[in-house]
Amino acid sequence: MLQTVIIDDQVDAIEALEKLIHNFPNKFTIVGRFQTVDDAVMGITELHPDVVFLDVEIHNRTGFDVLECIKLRTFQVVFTTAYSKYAFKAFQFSALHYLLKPIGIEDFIEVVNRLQTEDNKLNLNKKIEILLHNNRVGNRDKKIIIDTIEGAYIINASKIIYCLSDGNYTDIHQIEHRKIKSSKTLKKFEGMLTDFDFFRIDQKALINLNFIEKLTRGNPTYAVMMDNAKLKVAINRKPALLKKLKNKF
Amino acid sequence: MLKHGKPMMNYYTRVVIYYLNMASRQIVSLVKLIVIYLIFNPVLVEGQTKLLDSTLKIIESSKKFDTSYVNLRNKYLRTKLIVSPRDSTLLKFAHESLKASEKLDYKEGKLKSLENIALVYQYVFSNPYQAIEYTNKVISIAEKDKSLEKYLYSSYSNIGVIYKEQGEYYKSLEYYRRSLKYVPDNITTLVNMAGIQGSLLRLDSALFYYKKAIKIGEYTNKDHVYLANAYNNYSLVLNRLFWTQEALKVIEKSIILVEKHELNILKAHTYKVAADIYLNLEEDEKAKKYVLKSLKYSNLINSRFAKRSVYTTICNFYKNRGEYKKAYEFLEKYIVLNDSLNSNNRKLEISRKEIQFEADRKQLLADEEIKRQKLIKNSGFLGGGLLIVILIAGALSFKRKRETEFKLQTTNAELKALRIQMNPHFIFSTLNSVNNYISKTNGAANSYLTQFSKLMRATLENSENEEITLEKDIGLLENYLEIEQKISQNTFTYDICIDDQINEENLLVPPMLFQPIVENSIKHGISGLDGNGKIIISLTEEDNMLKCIIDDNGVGRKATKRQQLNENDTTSMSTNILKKRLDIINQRYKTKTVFEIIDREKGTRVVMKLPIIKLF
Repeated sequence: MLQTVIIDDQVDAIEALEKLIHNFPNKFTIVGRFQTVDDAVMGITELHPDVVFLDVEIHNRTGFDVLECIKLRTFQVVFTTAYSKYAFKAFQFSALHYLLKPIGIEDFIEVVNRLQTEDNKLNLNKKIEILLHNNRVGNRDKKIIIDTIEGAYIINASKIIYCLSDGNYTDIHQIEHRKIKSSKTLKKFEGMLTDFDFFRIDQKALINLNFIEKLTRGNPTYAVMMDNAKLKVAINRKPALLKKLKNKF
Repeated sequence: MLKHGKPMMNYYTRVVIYYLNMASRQIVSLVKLIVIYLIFNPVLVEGQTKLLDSTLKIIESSKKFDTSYVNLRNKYLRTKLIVSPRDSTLLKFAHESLKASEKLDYKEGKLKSLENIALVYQYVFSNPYQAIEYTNKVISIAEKDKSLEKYLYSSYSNIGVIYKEQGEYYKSLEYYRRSLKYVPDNITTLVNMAGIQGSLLRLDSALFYYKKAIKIGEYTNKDHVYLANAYNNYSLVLNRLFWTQEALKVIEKSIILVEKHELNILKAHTYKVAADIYLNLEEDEKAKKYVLKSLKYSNLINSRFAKRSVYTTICNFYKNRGEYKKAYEFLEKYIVLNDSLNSNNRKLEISRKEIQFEADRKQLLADEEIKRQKLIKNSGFLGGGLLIVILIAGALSFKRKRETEFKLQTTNAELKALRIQMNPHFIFSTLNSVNNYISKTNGAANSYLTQFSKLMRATLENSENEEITLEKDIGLLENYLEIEQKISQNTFTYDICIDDQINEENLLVPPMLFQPIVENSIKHGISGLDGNGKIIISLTEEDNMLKCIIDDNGVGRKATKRQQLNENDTTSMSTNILKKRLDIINQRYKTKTVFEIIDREKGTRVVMKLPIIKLF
């Protein structure tokens, strides 16, 4: 049985989650429901739950505030949010679970299944720490968790030179480190990194614009990266790439 | 006997049931009141009058003006305040104590005097704002001196009490929290915080604080009054949430405690809660026993609050037995008492409000601002039902807007304006609330609304792009089709066939171009059938164009035309918009798109050809 706490400033939202949770009577027991950041902090500290469903927007404060205030984080977090493009990007960076409101039963089941196969408690705390770290720092210092077959790596997003697609896997090339193979598709990385100066130049390649050494003349154009890799730029992407570089520098 | 259902309810029955419903809503305010009347109940201070008189004599005859003199004055005032809470001369007395301690440069005495002045303002003059001002003076002195830190605790919790009595619950909670910083695990504070949470109808939080208070109370094994009070209220809330067995366990502990320590002041309330629980458990005899006990002790301490609360229980008791006339008798008593208590409260409230207005206009302005903010937030929930209609209408007009914008070329600015008008966070949290509300009665509506939200979300996100991948667009189309299926209660099925040669992830199309065609098929073709409708969408690559065929087995255009007398209906309008969008594509990519409607023997076929635009 997973001891479960629900945090949301709206009673309606708490009730909605309860209803979803009641579909799994053998998996969850709800031990607390809180509607403010302060109550939530006190409640989690006191109750030691296994799972916390945490609303991102709590009155004028956030679910991040709740996590900041709790020293011992040995629970799994599932964020819930009504709409926040930036928030869910943040959850992807730290490989944390999230649900969008109104929560559909299918999405809920998916998260429940992922909770089952969850990693150890040390890992949980690490993920939350990365989330909070990313929440505090500017774009240049964002960290990202990369799941590989050997385990999870934590790397600095601005140190990625480029990502290359390899079927359902992605090779991450970074400064001063050997490449690592993530079990996520390139498309997932594109979704996460586009706001951080990354650009998809081709079906196979997502590059960090800060590490382009030069663009070759002629057709097709190649982007030469700082590690001397030569990556093809698709014809259709060239105008957009030039525009983006122009706006940037 | 009447065979069907209950006998006709008579007048008494109806009145009793109506008022009981009203009374059950007031149960939370009971949680609050029991805490306040603990402070003033005369039973606690009986026999202290004599002691006070002799103390006053010592003070008046004292010739020495040292620190112990000041201490005695302060102690005297504190007790005197409880015994005679209407004595306005106490203010002068407290100011004299303050002067004396200032002369002696006795810091602690000064703090206590200031504290006393604040208490006098609060309880004798009902002037909370002066009280807060003097308490703040205490805080500013105590903050500078580490040895006086304990005064920070009492000052913060005093301000907490004041705000609570003013009904400013959030501010009150804030100050209680600050006080917890200095004395964590204080049972009094926790019980008070729980009471506020109850008043705010946050029963979960209330339960939480009571639980914590009980844990501490059981551990320290002093503060029996507060522990029993926490038991009572905890049990009351549990019982109200129908966790009856749990409530019973808790109240049994309370009964043991109040009887062991002779806490007469609390007995009326304890027995009342016990009676309520037994009523819920339908154990009439036990309920009766506790009702009688509760009545006895509320007469003994002569507390009108306690009486009022026990009357509702008695009324309930008779109602359960079907003795409506008796129930009505106690209901009348309840109403009379309730009215008198409320009017007293109201008078007090009005005088405080007047002082508040004069004393601090700025405060009032700030309050207004907070209220306004709250109103903005709350107005969303009030219009929940209406909103869903508006949202659907909004979504449709949003879609049309998306289409006409190609022609009007007023793209981005307008779209952004539209997005700002409809704050996405507001939309989706409202949908979440509405979803919860309707899913109480209707499970299907729940999944319909969830899907609708997904479509809205995707539409909002994609509205920034002129083109999206075919994969995404088909995803949107499927989402739309599923919603239509639900609305029409599965009277049609659909198939989307995409040729293997097409790479959906690398092919770009203008968003939601196929959707109006499919909508036409459903609205005008298939809706004329009695089930068994079928829509087939197939996509192939032909002559370097993307060819899309949308087939339905509906009643066809001729049948629909007959029904349509008005040429300017939505169907022809959306077809016109579609044609205009295709014209723009023709110009931009210097190509020739195709849009054909073919009437078949059974159903309609639409053929559309678009240029192949690749992402990479």
